[in-house]
This record gives sequence, C-alpha cells and structure tokens, in this order.
Amino acid sequence: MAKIVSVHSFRGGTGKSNTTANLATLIARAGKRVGVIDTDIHSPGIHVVFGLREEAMEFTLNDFLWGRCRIEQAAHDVTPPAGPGEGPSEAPGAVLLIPSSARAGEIARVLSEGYDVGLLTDGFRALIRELGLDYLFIDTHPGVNEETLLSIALSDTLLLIMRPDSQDFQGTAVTVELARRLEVDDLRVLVNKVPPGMDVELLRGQVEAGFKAPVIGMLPLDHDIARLGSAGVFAARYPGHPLTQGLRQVASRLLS
Amino acid sequence: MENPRLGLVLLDSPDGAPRQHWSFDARPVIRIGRSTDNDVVVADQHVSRDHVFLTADGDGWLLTVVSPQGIYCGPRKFLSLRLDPRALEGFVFRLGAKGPFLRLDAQAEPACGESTLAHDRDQHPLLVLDADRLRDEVEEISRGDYFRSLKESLGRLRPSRSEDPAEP
Repeated sequence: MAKIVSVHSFRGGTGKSNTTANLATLIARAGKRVGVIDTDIHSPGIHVVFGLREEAMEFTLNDFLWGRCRIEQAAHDVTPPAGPGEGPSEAPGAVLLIPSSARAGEIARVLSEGYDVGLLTDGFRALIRELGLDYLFIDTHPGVNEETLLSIALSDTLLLIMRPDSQDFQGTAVTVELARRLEVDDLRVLVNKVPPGMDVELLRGQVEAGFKAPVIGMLPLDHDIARLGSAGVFAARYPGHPLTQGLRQVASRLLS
Repeated sequence: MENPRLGLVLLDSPDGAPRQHWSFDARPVIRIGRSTDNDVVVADQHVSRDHVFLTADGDGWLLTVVSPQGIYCGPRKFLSLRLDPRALEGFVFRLGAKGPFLRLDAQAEPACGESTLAHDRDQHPLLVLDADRLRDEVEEISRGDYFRSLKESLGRLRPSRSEDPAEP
C-alpha cells in the first residue's frame, strides 16, 4: 500500500520544496518509486529544483484539473543522476514529478476561476495506481486553504517544516491542531534552517512540547544549499555533505 | 531581509479609476481594514475593522484574511492566499462580497505627499505560542463549511486506513 506524505509549511521560505525534492530523491535511492505532486498551484516551484524546464512539460497538474489529460500523463521522470562517489543505483527507484504550470496565464486562471479541489482526491489515487508508487509526496501551498486541508486529510504522514521562528511556530501550531481534528495519526516536524549557535536540544524540547509531536530532524542553515539556489537536488549533487547526511537520516525515519 | 516595495490602489470596480493609493517600503506586514489603526484604512461599511493582513513571504506575499467576510478574486472567496511574485502585478481582490476592490502594484513609486513607511523589526523572543490566537484561528477554520465537509467524508477519503487490519 502506497504511503501519502504531505509536506506543509505555514509560511513560505522554510525550504519546503527543496527538502521535499531531497527526501524524495533519497527514498528513491533506497529503491522506492516516489511520486511528487506540486499542489502549490498558485506559486509552483519544485520543478525548478528537479531541473524540469517549462518547455519540457507536455502536461501539468493544471491540464489534469481542466480535463485536458489523465493525471499520469503529467508525470515526468526527474530521477537525479547519481552524483560523484555514488555508484550506479541497482535499485529500481524513481522520482516522478507532477508539476504545476509556472505560466502566468495558468496561475491567473486558477486564481480567477478556481477548480474542483475534489478532483485532486481522484488524481492522487490514480497516480498511485497507474505509476505503481510506493510513496506520494504532496508539496502543498503554504498557509491553510482547501487544497492543503484536503492534502492533510488524505495523508498517512504529515511532515511539517518550520524554521526556528515564532511566527512559524505559531502558524505550524494551527496546522498541527487542524491535522489532529482530521485524524492524521502520523505527524512529524522538521525544523529547518537552524542557525549556528542555537541550542538545538532546547529547541527540540520546545517544539515537541508545544506540538506534542516528534521532531524528525533538525537541519542547519546551510550556505552550500543556499549557493545551489534551487538549481538542483542537493543530496544528489553532494552525497557526502553533512547536510545530505542529515537529510538521509530524515528519509530513513520516513521509510521505517 | 528587505521586502520589495508594494503599492495598493483602491478601486470602485475591478477596472475602475484609482480612488486612493498607498505605498510601502520593506514592510513585513501590511494591515488592511476599517479601523484607523490599520496601515491601509478603508472606510466602507462592507469592510471589517480588521480585514486582511499582507505578510511578506519570500519574494511573494501571503494574504491572511482575518474577517469572516473574506476576500474575493472573481467569484471565489479566499481566507488565505499566497501570491507568487509573477501573479502580483495588477492583482485585484475585493474586500468582502460587496466591498471595494484593491489592486496590487508591485512597481509602485512612493506617492507624492505620502510618507513611505519604514519597517520596524520587533524582536520576538524565540518560539512563543499565543494560545488564545491559536484557539481562535483553529476554531474559525474548523467551523468553515469546507473543513466540516472534509471531516464528514474522512472515511471515504481514506478507505485504506479503515481496511487496514488492526495492529496486533
């Protein structure tokens, strides 16, 4: 049975899309077939991390929502090639991305006309079935709207990404409480962009006590990933980097 | 972080003539409503005392509606919306179903005779939770029609979970 993992942040800028792309890649390296769907239809972005250019997208999630294709036709194999020091992968893992359209006209159409959010439910199921997925990662829109609530309600695991910041903490608490009301059992928090010198154990204690949910990882604010500037999947480029090791731990906790 | 300048233009209709104009430089939040303590004060009976907050969010803006009247983009009501920088310029929304329209103007020049407001960064202690605000926000969202219908259809949305055998 495939596992649906919704990745959510209350605010933007937490590194949600980058983290999602990296975790999906690391789970695929472990031999899993991983779907990633960008439901951040108002401000799509994860395709950039995977290096999928707009011209290379024959169909997008928008086309599915407007009835112009089946959802699996919008899937693009974006499995990053093995990086230096990584042997060729023997496992049959893959990352399949369903991007949202980054064209201003499509974004404007979604804003002005809206779409049937319920179609997403059918879409997620069809994707898992047609692509034979082990995991489906849903990269959601920041904040709380119908798409995010639906993604949360459908998820087996909700991964909340926040920075060590009071506004993130307050906002994430709202999502945690809503997820509890939607009976999400498996709720985990990833604290990202932790600045150097911060007492990580104190921080972990505060988050776990505040949300009554486990912290699955605490990743540092890192200059190398910032320099990469979303122009690639960090874990594939730098498989031996300490940040990749941290991401790998998070990925293995999601797998277990 | 320096946020880009943002201008707002008050309109009577989506493509109507501008009535009033505001411009903000490097503000983390812009508060819009009828009360005079807002950054953008719109004196209109259809506008709530506190109606919507615009928060700088990366290179875009997050609109958080604090009024049950909502904001409208075309026929759709929103309580929360993130505006991508690509969708920002010329974006028009309505304050409530019958209120006035506001247009965003990303390239706004500071208006003549208006002061450009500076960004006062307030230093919050790390990770403080406002329990009252949390309760109010959660209650407001859970009372919404969409949330309630979602909660009622959980069994159908997650058939896999109910079919799973119980843990031994």
